[in-house]
Amino acid sequence: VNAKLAYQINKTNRIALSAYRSYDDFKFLEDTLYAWNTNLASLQWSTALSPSLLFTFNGVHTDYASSIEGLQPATEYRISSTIRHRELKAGLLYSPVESHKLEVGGNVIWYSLQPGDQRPTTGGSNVNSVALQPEFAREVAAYVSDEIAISPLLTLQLGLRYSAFAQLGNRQVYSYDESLPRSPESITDTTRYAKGQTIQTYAGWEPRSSLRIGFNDQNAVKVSYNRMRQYLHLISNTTAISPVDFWKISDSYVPPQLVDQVSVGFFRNFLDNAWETSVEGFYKDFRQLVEYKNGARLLMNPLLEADLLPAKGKAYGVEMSIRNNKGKVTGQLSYTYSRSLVAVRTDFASEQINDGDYFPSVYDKPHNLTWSGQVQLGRNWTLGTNFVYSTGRPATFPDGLYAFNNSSLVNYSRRNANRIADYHRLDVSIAKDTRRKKEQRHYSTWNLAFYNLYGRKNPYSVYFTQFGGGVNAYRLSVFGSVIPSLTLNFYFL
Amino acid sequence: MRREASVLVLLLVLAGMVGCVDEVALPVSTQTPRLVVEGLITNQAPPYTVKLSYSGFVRGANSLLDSLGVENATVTISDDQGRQVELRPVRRGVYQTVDSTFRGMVGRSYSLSVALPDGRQFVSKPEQLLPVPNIERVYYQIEDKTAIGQAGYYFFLDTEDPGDSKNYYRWSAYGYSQRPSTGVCCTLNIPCTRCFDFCWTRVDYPGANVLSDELINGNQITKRYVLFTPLFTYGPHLVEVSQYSLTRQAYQFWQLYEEQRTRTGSILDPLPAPVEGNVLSRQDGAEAALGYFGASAVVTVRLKTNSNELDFNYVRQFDLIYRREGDCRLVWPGAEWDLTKAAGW
Repeated sequence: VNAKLAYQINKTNRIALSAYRSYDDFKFLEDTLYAWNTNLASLQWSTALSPSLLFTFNGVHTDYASSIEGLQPATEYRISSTIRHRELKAGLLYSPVESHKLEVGGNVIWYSLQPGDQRPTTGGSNVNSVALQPEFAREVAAYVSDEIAISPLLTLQLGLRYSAFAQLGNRQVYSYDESLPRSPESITDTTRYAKGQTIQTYAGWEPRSSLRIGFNDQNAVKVSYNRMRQYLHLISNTTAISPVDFWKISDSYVPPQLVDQVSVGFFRNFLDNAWETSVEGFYKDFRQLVEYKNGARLLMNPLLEADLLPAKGKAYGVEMSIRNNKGKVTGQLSYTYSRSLVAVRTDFASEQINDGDYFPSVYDKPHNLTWSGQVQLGRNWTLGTNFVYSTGRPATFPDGLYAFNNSSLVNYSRRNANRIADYHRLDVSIAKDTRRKKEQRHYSTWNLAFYNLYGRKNPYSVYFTQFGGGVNAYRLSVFGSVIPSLTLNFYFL
Repeated sequence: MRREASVLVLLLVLAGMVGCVDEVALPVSTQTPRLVVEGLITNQAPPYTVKLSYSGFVRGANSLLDSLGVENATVTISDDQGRQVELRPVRRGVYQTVDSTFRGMVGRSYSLSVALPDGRQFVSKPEQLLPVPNIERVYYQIEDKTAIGQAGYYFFLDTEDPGDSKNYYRWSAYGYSQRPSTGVCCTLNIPCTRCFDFCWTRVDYPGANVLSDELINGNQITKRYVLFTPLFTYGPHLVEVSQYSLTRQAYQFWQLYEEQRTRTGSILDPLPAPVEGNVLSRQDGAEAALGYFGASAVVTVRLKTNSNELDFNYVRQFDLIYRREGDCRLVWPGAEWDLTKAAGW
């Protein structure tokens, strides 16, 4: 549900209120239900202080909640996690001439997270009620940004942002013996922080710049650099039947993620801009990423920091694209080669992941190809095709069984050393527009589409279960068959 | 202004809208086989056993050791006083001490060295043999009037945790319960006397039962569950419970072991991990063997239950379900007829 209300108070003042609510759920198997919902409300006031000076003020409130519901008899449960984001933002936009835009502003964000709250959902359920400690934080930032079109062919953008973050109570924080890997057994002390009390702070600069040089109206080069810091971390278990994600706020043990990115792009148009081509390369350097210890327990872990490890990462790639805008056959073909790698190096040999070497992150899908095209068949018939291909994401497969203590166990030695099968899918549609003339008032459109035309069972995940003396592998596919659909649209003037 | 007045979406086929799970051929990661070490020295009388094997894809826990057991390794245990003893192979992958004067002592540290036939050498970090308090009592609850398959004895123990030290515990337990069969005639008179109409079948605690005294330091450990023995017929159950001291590292190893052993592919599972312990490569300190070489003080308690506490008439009905035709030694594989003499009960 989406609602928007805008009111022009007078010539220079405008107020807009918007609200948004969404709900989604999905049952992967008969016994687990995943649900998400988002509530968003925002208020914006803008006032033109002079013809070239605009002031805007924003208030935003967002609630995001997700839940996992176990439906198996006797162990029915629901684990819910929420993020609340409240933000106040003020900004001044000064544009004395069309070719110059100067922006200054600031914002403050209050975060409030419940990383996990587990409850039984029926009277007969044996599941215990457990709630993890909520997390609170405040982020304050100020920024200045300037965009100048030095000439019609040369545009420079410079920006600088400073952000300061504070993790706040109410919270109980554990101290660990620094000579040992963090674990429940190496806790030395517990400190209680009162509501609103500062637990940990981080702050730093985030510069950004980009330069676009046009050689003529057909050739251009764009170079950019920016740095970002992120105080929220996505914690994601990709080894189970379905990826389970939740967020964590930076704290004494988890510093903010830092990423520096440089990119260069070349753009060239041919044949009177009918063909657009581009080649772009990027390199990202990540610091203070979050990785997981071997055997880490992610969901509903009250000592999550003891199962997290700091990692560094790098990502690089080249994206090529060609697009045809004119003629009976139009379309776009893009190909990206990119890598995303992480490395964990800690002081303790027992915590090392893959010997401290760089290894593929869960986002590492080197080859990506997308094609979308339309063919005008005449008499308002259009044939559309859409094809996507990407390398399967990295996964950790078993590399052996072994006997220990009269049981057999499955061994997983190297993280992300394997990949699930590649993803590819072809969609085809045929559409008919019943208009005879462009200005026709009553008409309809028909669209017959086949999603996943050749019914490929693209794996969503591959997971393993142990039994007595062995291990079985299962593949979960979502939309694993062709899905035809027919859409009819009726238009009136 | 053009307005879209009505949209009708018709899905012709709904199949495939939900997730579908297929069993697939096991995709296998091609890593080199890992050495697996399972060894323990205690303050009880020798011999001490060390099992060596490799990881690999062979089905069945017993056959794993038979087919992947390490032969021709040189295995030694040494203590912090400089004493060293060699272990001899007793069967494939199983090595035992032969020097009966080499006995684990509380307070000493022990370490294992393994030289593999391919030249690789592994050594364990020294493990201190810590004291263990006595088991105060082992007791049980009978659940005889419950669903078939769940009826049996639940065994528990009480012990007192010393307050002056950090302590970590592991309990292992096994028991015997009787399993009925029709037996065979063992006399010539009619009707004949039937023999071998019940045998003792063994049940082991299936995983690692460990505890840290973090939350109960210096207090009683009460009603710690140690074993379940199923009830197949009327008769006593025999149980042996051992309480081991652990070092912190050993406790963490066993916890990791238990978490990995019980992974099911669910979203609540911990991430997969190699269950590495304290045995490292001598050549490459970053390479660890799977498994652990531990040193523990052990106290053991045996208990025989009193059959009179069972509801005779009710429990005898179980015979109808569990009794099989024939000699119990044959129909219940692994079962023993004369346990009292054979195993010293």
